[in-house]
Amino acid sequence: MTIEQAAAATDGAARYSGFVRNRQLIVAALVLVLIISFLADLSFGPSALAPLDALKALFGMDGTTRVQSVIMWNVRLPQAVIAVLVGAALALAGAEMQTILDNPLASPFTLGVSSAASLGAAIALVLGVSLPGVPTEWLVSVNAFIFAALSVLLLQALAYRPGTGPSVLVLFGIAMVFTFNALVALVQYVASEQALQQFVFWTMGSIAQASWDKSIILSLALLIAFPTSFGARWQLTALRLGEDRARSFGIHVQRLRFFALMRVSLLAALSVAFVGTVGFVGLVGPHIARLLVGEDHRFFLPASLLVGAIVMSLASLVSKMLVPGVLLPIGIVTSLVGIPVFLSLILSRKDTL
Amino acid sequence: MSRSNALSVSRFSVGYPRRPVIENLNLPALVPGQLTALIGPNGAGKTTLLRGLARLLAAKGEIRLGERDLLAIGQRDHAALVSYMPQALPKMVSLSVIEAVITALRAMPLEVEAQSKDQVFERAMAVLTRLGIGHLAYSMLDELSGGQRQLASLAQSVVRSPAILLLDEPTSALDPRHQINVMKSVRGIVTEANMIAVVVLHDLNLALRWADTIVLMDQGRVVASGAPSDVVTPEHLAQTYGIAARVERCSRGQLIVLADDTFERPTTISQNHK
Repeated sequence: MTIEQAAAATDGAARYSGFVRNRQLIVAALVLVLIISFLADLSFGPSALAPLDALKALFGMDGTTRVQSVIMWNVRLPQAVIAVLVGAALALAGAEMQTILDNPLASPFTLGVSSAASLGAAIALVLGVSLPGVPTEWLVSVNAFIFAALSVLLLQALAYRPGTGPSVLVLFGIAMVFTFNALVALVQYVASEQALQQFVFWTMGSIAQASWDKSIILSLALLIAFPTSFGARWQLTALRLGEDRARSFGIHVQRLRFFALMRVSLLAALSVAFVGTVGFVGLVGPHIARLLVGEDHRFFLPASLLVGAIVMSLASLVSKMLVPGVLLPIGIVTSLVGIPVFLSLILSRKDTL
Repeated sequence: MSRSNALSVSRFSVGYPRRPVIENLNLPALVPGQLTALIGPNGAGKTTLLRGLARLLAAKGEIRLGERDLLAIGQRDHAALVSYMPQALPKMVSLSVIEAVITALRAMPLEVEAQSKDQVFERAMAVLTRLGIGHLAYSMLDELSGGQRQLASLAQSVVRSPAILLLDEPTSALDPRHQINVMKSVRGIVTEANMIAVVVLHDLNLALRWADTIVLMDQGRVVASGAPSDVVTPEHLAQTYGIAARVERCSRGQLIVLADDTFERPTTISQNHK
């Protein structure tokens, strides 16, 4: 190696380090944005608790009244936490789905997971049917979870059948969306007026029913799902280079898909079960992450998770501020606010898509 | 890892469930450092054979690399020996060239696991430089031209230093300059690294120009194999492609094919079908 070549090589390595550091910095910046949006979400609410007092109550500073403390710890914090967790879970699930199905439109929504959850919720709300021994306040969540999980297991069974490509899975998912929607309509048709009202509200997606139990369950799911999906980061990135190529690298693609779908079912089913159909985060989170850090899953997976959390956290904030004194269903806000942002991002990217 | 071993394929059957494409196929021994072109009309089974050799399709028979039975070894060991480059490259992939090549190294650990981050990078960068696309390392795959994309794809296969390199139409849809560029790179790397290369080619003149050995396939069978001048003959071309062609030597002695006309393919009675 001549001196010039050696210099060029060192240069190259330095440039690559810079390239990697750059992406790490973006992920770090997302963490920062999430912290800010989380605190902002805590600072505002329909109750008369001024932003500054809210933060004081959070950190248990002197001069906090008991009421302020209760508002913070029993109302705002559980809601803000579950918003972050649901956003993270749905976006991570969407990111994995888009990769393993090789389809930028894949998300827990487009593949019928949410429709299935809706059917479960509708059956619980309208017909009052659920598993024996489930406490009433968990009835809707448990039913929604069971149906969502079953729908992903159906996808799963199909995915493991030899010779099933991603496009078959996507088409199957779409067929499930229509099937479940038809069944939901059937249940709605026989529903009483009151049950119908409850169900419609549920489908709008709401974090008003947040509780620490739900947050703990969702946290545990994320603690299982994220490390395992991050562990498969190179294999998932390789899948983006083409399925045949990934297989020729020695990757067991069906197994990779199987475990990814397991994680997706856990995350998506729990999220939808707890807060109803909050659309869109699963689709938009990965897309924004892709624009920011590309599809190297070392960065893409954490970035998707963080963007999802940020989007939901901001949606929670906006849902409180749009109409003063009223907490709008968060599902409405994510779609109304998310869609214009999303479209502008996609359309500003002229070269591809 | 011994590189002095030849690849032998015998009694090889591969296809899809309920649709066998290739049955009991034998290939002449393929030796390291040699480039073998796989030619034949559309539907002859070239891609199926290549994917069978890559173990992407269920196959029966025997593929041996020296003493090793490539159909019996584990997926990981197989992946360390054989690298397959598909014809169709995925679109809308937000990865830079260098990320894609590093992923090719990291996806399924070769001996790479023991290597440091810098070593992995150096190895990836060296391949890009060798292929003349070092300056594109930080370009996104989607921004590349067709020819650059093929080279980036080739880099992903070559960087794993396989003993056997399987390329499915690496020059399709490329202009002449990029065709030459790709073939020259393949040729050079195969010689330097002493790889066994099997390349599906549609362009007969590229095959004549760059291959050491040519295998002509039709309807899942090998019609002829061996030295280019023995395989690419007007008779063989008439029989397989159904074209009236001349095979002549140019002023530099290089064989070239001039296709003049088509005619009805004689209805060949395949021995495979009863």
